[in-house]
Amino acid sequence: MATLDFGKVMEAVANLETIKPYLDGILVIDCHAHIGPHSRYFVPEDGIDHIIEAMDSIGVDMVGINALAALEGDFASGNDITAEAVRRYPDRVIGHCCINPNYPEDVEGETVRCFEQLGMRMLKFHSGWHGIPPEHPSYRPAVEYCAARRIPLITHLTDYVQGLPGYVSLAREYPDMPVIIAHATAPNAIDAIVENCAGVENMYFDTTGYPKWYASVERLVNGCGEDRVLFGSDIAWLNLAHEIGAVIFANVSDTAKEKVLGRNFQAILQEIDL
Amino acid sequence: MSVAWFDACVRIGRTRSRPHYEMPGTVENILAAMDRFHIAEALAYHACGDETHPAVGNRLLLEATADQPRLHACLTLLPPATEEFPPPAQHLPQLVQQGIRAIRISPQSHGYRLSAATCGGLLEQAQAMRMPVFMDMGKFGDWAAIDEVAGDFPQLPLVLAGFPYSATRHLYATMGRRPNLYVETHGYEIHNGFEHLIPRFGAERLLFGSGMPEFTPASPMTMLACARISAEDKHKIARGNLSRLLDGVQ
Repeated sequence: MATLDFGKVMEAVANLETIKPYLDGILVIDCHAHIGPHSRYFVPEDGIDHIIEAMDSIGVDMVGINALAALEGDFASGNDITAEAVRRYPDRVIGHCCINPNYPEDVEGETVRCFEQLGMRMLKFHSGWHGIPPEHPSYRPAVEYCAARRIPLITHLTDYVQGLPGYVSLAREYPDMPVIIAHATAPNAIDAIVENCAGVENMYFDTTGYPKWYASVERLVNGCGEDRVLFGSDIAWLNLAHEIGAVIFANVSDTAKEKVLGRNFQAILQEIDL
Repeated sequence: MSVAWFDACVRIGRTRSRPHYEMPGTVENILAAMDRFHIAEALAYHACGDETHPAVGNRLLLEATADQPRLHACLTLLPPATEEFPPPAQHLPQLVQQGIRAIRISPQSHGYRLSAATCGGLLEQAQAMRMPVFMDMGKFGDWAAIDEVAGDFPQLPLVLAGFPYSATRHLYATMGRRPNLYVETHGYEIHNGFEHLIPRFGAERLLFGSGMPEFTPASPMTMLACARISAEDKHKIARGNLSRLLDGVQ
């Protein structure tokens, strides 16, 4: 198994060289990404081809992704955008199925369509944008479908910290479903995560976040355990290299970095029973 | 080839509320982090310059950096009308004599609107000396004021420090109109950000900054190192542009 040589990677960055050669042989899976565009922000070159280019330039093997459009009102057409990315890059792209609990009549049907027709392998909630807490019954058809198949749920947190107890109760109720708390390095969330979630074995925590606080990855790894933290970038919303830098240079063991960069999420993906 | 990174955004001192996992901003901690991340030099300001008073923060900053050749003081100043500092025409040349080559303003923290009416005397003198003025963006959102001031003082190097990624639409519009506008990059976490911006506005207007001690240098350094831009442009952003601005002070 390859081992990340921190000294050489640091030297490469210090010399303004890409880190890609040093990630060869290291499994890197980004669990949290988006295909643009979005209304509020300008994101240059937000299509799947540009995202794959960015991954190739750094050495990222796979990406879990949803179209930002799928997090808005017309989630079905957004899921179609995600599905097209999965179809074009089946070995690189892990599709997130997005459902919107404001339209409960469509939740079960869209869930089945995503996993049985569109090739998705993750479920995505954005309870903050949708304004409905994660324990609400409208989500249940999707949750029960995914829990029965060990399909991971990925959430959103930063501006929705009040939703954390709902995710904890969901994770406790469905212990076979991995529940990934996104943006877990956010300063307004990290203490609550360490205190309330570290003891729930099927909860995982992704590293996405803007900005990158000093030693936040270290705090997450030390507080929740190196087996429970997953690399996420939020590309194309954010910058892939910017996000991976915080993991690669974190003051944790090389083994922990390799787990965070890919091996932890690989283990979750291997358990999916679709 | 070894690169002598020059960090345009480091804060010394304690803030009134401390993010609980922020590295304390002592000189010793900052220098240790600079060593770890191979950062040769840094332009530093003091937390008390925003939260207590610029005169207090500047004194503490000068004391903290006095024997530190790798740390360059960036003093925080105020609009001249209240005479909290000597008149800019005297004060700025004095500062240059002391080795100060950049100043900083923080309109949001100090309770004034950025404009020629409030800051004119200060910015006019800085423009005459080509002294770069760093403006703390924080949650500052008055892009009309930035555009106006950059236009009123077209030879003034005005650097937006802590630019938020979410304001890119404002940034492109203002950079297009104001060639004297620069961006310190620790908040510029944009996918393909350098690759998209540089062909439009040039690499000369981007300055590497870490945002320490709140933020990690690992992220902006990795973003620049991995950017698909020329090596020459990377060197400009890592050091060359800031050095050029500081060396250009008259």
